Amino acid sequence: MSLPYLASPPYAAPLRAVDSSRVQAQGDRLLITATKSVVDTDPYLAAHFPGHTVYPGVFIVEGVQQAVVAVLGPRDGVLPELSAVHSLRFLGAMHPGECLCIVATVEPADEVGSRRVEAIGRRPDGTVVARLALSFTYQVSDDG
Amino acid sequence: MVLVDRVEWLEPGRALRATKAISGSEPCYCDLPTGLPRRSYAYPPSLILESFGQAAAVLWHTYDGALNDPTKVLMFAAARDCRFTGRAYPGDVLRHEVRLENAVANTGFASGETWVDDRRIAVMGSFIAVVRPVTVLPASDVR
Repeated sequence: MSLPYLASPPYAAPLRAVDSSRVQAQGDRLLITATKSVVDTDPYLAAHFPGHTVYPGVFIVEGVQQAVVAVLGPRDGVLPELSAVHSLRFLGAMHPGECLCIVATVEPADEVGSRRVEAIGRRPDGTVVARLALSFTYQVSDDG
Repeated sequence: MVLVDRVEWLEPGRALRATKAISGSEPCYCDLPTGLPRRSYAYPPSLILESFGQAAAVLWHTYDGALNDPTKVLMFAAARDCRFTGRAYPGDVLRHEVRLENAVANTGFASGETWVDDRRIAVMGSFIAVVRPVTVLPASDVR
């Protein structure tokens, strides 16, 4: 199933980190495929790095978050939030003009309602640029 | 994308306290309408990670001048065991308490916490950065 994307997410985000995505059920898991074309006019990219524009690795985290939040959607009017980065590795740099493909597997909710997500970011040629293991929950303990 | 405003305390090569004020005029808030639930305005976790990583980079620099060599770049390579336990909003000041755990050859390991006033909003188990030749990056237009 393809998902519609708004011009920007309905929450603070450094950029629109997903251009399009699809989701399919695999047993009790969800498989998300999302893409993002890196554009040198994206917010925050200026001077990262000076003279050598590189898509910040944390924006891949942001892309996984936006894709997962769009799929899981609100519960009681509340959207899920990134609650943990179990591990992440950046294995290659993405540059303007390249397209990032994120494949993320969303595990069923655990006993406290947390959803673990394993994700891989690739270039179109299949080169892996990032591996991530994250968790999302519907409520972080401290509302601040 | 500079996400550290100032270093408030430093023990060179060992620990650092750095701050970053969150402004409602930052790009992450530009397209956001007013009237949304409060938590919609929470500062993005991805930018908290980046801000903490930049503070850790400054600390590493005080250890061995990692940022001095113009032929090298320092890159965020990996992280482990980071938890978000609260939120920060426009008007808040992030306070990163960073420790340099180890620095071996071209790799640095840092850990720490991020606070807003007396609230701890994130625990960073391990941040890993590497120094690479600038030649690993293709040149692009300087803006």
